[in-house]
Amino acid sequence: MDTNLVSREDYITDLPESIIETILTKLPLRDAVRTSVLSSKWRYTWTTLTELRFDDDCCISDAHHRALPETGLVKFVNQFLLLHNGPITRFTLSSEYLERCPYVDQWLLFLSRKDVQELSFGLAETEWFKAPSCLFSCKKLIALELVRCELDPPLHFKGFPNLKRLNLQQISIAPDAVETLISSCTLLESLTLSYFEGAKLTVRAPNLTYLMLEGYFKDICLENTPMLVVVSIAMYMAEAYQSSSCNFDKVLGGVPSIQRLTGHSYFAKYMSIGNTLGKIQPTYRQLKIIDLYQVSFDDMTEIMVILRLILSAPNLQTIQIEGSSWSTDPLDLDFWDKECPRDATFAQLKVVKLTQISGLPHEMRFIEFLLGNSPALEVMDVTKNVYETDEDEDMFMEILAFERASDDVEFMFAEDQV
Amino acid sequence: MAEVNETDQTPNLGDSTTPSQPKPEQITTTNVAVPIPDVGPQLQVVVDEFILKNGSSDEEVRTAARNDLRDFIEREEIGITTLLVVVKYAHEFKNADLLDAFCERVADLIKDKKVVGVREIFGIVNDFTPEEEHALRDEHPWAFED
Repeated sequence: MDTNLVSREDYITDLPESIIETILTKLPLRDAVRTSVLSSKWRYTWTTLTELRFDDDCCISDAHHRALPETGLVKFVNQFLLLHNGPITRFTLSSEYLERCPYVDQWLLFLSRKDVQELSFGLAETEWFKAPSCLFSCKKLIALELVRCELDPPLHFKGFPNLKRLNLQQISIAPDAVETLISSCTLLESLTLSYFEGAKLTVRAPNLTYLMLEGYFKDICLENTPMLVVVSIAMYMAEAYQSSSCNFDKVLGGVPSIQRLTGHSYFAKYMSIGNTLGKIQPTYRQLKIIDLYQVSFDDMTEIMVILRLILSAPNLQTIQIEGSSWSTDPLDLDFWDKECPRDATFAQLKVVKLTQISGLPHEMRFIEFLLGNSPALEVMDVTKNVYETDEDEDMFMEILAFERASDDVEFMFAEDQV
Repeated sequence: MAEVNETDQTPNLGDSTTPSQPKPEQITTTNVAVPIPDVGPQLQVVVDEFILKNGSSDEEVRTAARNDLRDFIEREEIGITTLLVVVKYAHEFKNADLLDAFCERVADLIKDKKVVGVREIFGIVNDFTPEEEHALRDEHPWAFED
């Protein structure tokens, strides 16, 4: 071994405590605990760690032992917390094996007394963990992440006064309760709800800058979210679309500072409810990136949603759309000649990326419209769906023949075997 | 700033119950060059460059700077003593990112090693009796299972 890699003298043990803590924090907890045996001076250094992460790697024992509450992770956490000294600022518990047990409630009680600031809990899938009421007395929480959990905030709960980041994944909570939870955390900056089955959601969060909603939503309303910068919404509920009261203005009517918009699944469909091309308010001056998935170019109303978005975003730079269209027999094709504003200019549009395109009439008109009205366009990237029997090579040739407003467009064409 | 004294770093459960002095605030990393005595000129150059690039407002430049530093440290197999000298001075000059990068390397040298191996690398003298050590290991059997 290179003598350089071995130190003859001990320079590490007497370093300032905060350096030792920085080093130990970068170790998995097992290794951090092992340092207790290095020498007598190291015996308790690990007990003042303020950032703790417990996961299935903490105990490598066989699966049988791991699952038993008396052994494995539970024992490790219990002993660790018993010996721990000082504040705990960040606590993460993530295990696919650990099921709900009384200890978990006790740990949360312990943490609520330690002024924990960042908390992340995710247990096994078998039985969802019901958050004990002491969770709601963690007043110092800045970040909270819960996975597979039942949340039932007590009546007197007035929100987490310091909470900035909230991430709830596969959570069971009453619809009013989640709305109240969000609105009562007045400092909230980042909100993520995934695998959500609440159907209806109104968001009131005056300081929110980042929003990610994913689930079976039917009605979304961003009622008080003036600071939102990044919005990502995935709506999986297809059938309820007819009876929904959700629409473009309810979701995007109050987000003047938005910079990045991402829409998945049925998002475009829900935005199309009640939308007409005449409306191009509000203007989104900061909107730079639009990223939409499963957009049906067969549906004129969805096309109008896209058009409304790009016509109200004068500084738009990037459009990414994944198509999901089938109909070779389109309706309303004359829309492009009659109603579409042919003199619009997309002055900042640089990149257009379209995937799952089949060369259908509406798709082609859309591409033509963009090419003809984007003087600063640098990239037109189109990926075509190719079916087995397809011999049609003309789509790319047709695109190349469209009139283009920019001399510097780089065309990137690709094919996806379907 | 509350600088933790060198004499203060042995938490002794039997002693005072006040936790150690508050950690020096993690101030945003300064761009000041960190003149480090006792390190070779090559490393000094690399550190200076890192500090410069890490001060950039461009996130990509900063990420590249961190990756370059990490690659350099691994490639050159910087000696323990040198690593700890840099760590100490980064701490003193309150350069959080520099401290972070080198502490990461120190942590890598500890990770997944047996206690005996760690002692050897860092020159730590074992002052436990065999009985004491055995008892300690029994406190956390899971940590020592290999």
